[in-house]
Amino acid sequence: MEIILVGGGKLIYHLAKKLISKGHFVTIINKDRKLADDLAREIKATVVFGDAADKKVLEDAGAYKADNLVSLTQKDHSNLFICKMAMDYFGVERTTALVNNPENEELFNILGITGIFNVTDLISSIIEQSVISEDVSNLTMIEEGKLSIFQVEVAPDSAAAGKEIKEIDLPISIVLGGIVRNGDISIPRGGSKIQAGDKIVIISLPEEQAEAIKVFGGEE
Amino acid sequence: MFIVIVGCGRTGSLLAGKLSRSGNEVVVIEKNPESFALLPVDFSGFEIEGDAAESDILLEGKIESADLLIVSTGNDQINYLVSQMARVNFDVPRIMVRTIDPAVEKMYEKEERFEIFSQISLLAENMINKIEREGMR
Repeated sequence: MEIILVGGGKLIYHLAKKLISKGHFVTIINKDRKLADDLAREIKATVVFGDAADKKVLEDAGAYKADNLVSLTQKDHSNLFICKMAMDYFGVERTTALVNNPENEELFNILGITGIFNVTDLISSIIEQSVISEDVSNLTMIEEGKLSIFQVEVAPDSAAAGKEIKEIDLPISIVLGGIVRNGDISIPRGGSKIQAGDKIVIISLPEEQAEAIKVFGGEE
Repeated sequence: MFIVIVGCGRTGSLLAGKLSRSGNEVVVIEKNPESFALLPVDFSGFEIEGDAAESDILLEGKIESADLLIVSTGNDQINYLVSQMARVNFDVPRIMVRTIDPAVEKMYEKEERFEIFSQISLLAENMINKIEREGMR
């Protein structure tokens, strides 16, 4: 794929290296002269020095033949503008933007940005969990945080302790992926009994995470 | 009419002054508080200091009840974000946008609700009109 990356810093550097090693053609646009020079020296990618919000710079970077444009600046208005310009003027089909203000996620989505990384929400939800409860750990997020896989330790006073899974009142979209007991993993079935101290691996939508934590982790 | 103006530079302040003088209810949103000094002394509207790209600031300016929004900061990227927020999130019926770079006009084309005012295109058109008119004298 032909991919254009906009922005700078460590993120772009590592992202570009990874994409190149997977065989993609990468072009980086950066408006900081020194960063652009450094990137050009360190990475086997085409580096264009300039402001990606300028149509001519996008053209120089080969936007008309790009499959994906990824805009990773710290400014939401720049990321939106650059992605939309690539879509409207050069027909780039996939655009990915960093969203710094979580309020903008929906707007970007409605406006047709295909990949949205809501940095603030991703990071804050991970931190929030580790602050709220030491018994919950986030294993991973899938599709930019649309699905989360996490682990909760069953508290003795929780609604789930001592019950079989089929007796536990759980939203239907919460899936139990595994029970970890004394280091052994078993795959949960309706008749599996949950004990205090078990670690339950749960797959759920982020908005239902709190509900799942309440059932297994107990009330605050 | 209730009009919200984003950006209180030379253009925004001139518009705000004239529109408030002619009897409209005007709210001006501007990030840099010093710019409010550009408003005429008889300006009777409201001044809100803040970043119009934040929903809370737009709400403070009562954006949901605006009949018209004029987006007039000196930054095309901010103007684009604010006008899309107004259209998508707050359903403002009429949105006038100032554009700096004429190349940007096309980005607003798909939406009927946007009316674009490119200072460079307007200036050029005016001059050309005058030249052509005088050429026929």
